[in-house]
Amino acid sequence: MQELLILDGKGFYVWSAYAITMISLVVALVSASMRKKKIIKEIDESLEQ
Amino acid sequence: MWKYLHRLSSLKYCYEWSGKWVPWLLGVTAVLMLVGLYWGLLVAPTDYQQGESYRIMYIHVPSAWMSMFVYAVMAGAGFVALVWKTKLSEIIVSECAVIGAMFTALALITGMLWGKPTWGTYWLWDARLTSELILLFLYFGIIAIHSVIEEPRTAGRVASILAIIGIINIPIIHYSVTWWSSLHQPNMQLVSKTPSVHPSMLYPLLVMAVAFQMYFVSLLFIRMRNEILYRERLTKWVKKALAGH
Amino acid sequence: MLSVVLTVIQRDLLLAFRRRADLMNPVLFYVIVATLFPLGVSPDVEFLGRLAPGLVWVTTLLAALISMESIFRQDFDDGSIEQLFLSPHPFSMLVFGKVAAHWLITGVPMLVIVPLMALLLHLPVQAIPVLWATILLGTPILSLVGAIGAALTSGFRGGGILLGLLVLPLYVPVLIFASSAVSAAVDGLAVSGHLAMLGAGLILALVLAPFAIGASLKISMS
Repeated sequence: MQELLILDGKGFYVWSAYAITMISLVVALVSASMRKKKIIKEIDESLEQ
Repeated sequence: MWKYLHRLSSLKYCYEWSGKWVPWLLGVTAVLMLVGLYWGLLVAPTDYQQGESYRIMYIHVPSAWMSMFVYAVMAGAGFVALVWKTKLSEIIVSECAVIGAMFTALALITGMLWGKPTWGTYWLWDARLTSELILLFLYFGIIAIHSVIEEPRTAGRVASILAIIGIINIPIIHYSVTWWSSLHQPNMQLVSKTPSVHPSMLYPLLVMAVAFQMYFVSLLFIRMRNEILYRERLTKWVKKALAGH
Repeated sequence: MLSVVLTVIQRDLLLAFRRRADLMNPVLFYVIVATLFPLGVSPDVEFLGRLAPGLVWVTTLLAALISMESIFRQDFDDGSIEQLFLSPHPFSMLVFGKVAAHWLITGVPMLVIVPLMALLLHLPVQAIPVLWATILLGTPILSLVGAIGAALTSGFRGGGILLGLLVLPLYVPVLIFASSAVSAAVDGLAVSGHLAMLGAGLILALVLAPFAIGASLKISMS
């Protein structure tokens, strides 16, 4: 486990590259799905008026 | 055939069929991504030349490929938008710009993180990094159009023209930057970013490449559906489709 | 056909000469920015001489960009661009006339002033003819490509900054080939290859840009 984290002393670069990429990909997906809810809410409100 | 294509591009129909695809696409993306991550990080052997930092390649190279692929999709959609004036292709142009900019930024960031242990510096004016940076600027320009031009259809057509101009210019820019960097670093032996790869290292890369491709399609569909809902919010079919909620 | 293009050029030149003060502004901007570099970097003769090819060309890009903003602005406001569009002659040729006139108004003064700037920035004297040639070949490309951006943005408020964002990345190849040519001339190397690339770029821009400008204006008008 220790070895995997350090990766020859290059762990910082490898892990931060993977972390940044994966977090960005997930955040982009989640925020897109959240926006859908927001749009639906907006439409619902305009329907009620 | 034309009738079918026309129906396919109608926003209502598109919203319906893309909705069926999204869960499957997301599932395939997740599985491929996990397999690729496991394979690339844990199974693939260490590169004898670059050591462990080469593992960044498994996300850097797919991001870089996607940054160009998305631009090609965007320019293709832009062409369709200008010739047939379909709303759907205009939406695809603007959504591709955002997604493509994200892939380009990721390719740059992971490239920098790869550069530090390999070249000893985060940034070199290396030909590929430089043309990737200019590609990012091209994406930013297209995204900025939508903040300046409020009318979505005009903005869509302006963005389409720019996407097409960009696709003509990208090879010229890339060629000139490559030539320029060979001029300024004549004696510099750089380690290639994609070493001649052994199959045991290549397969995880291919899995990741397909995973990124699937991710792009999923995100494009989700964003496209949002935009369709928003643009058509005053129509009957949207109200009907949302009545179930 | 040709006479129509000439008429457009003549009209724009006439309009420009009626407002001579505006004519001077891009040139003044050009010289003032060039003056900033020695102040900001270093007045050292050798050091500046090494940087001069790049400095002159970056300044040229900025000056060209700033001058582009106004190319269609007035025609949009007074509706004459619609009149051109409705005329029976091919729109892209008329628009080409406008770009040609714009280059005569902004590019030619640059050609006149650039040797002076080269002296201010201590560019070695043997490189000045090559610098002049790159300006002659390069600025028309900047005008043609910039006009596409101007055509897309000048119909909208806030288009000015957007123009820079859209057009500057497209200027990169011109910057690279032009400043490399001048650098090569400073080092006494052959420059014909670089100039040939600029010439090829100019031909490509001359052939393709008028259509793109015409199509862009059509969209901005709608």
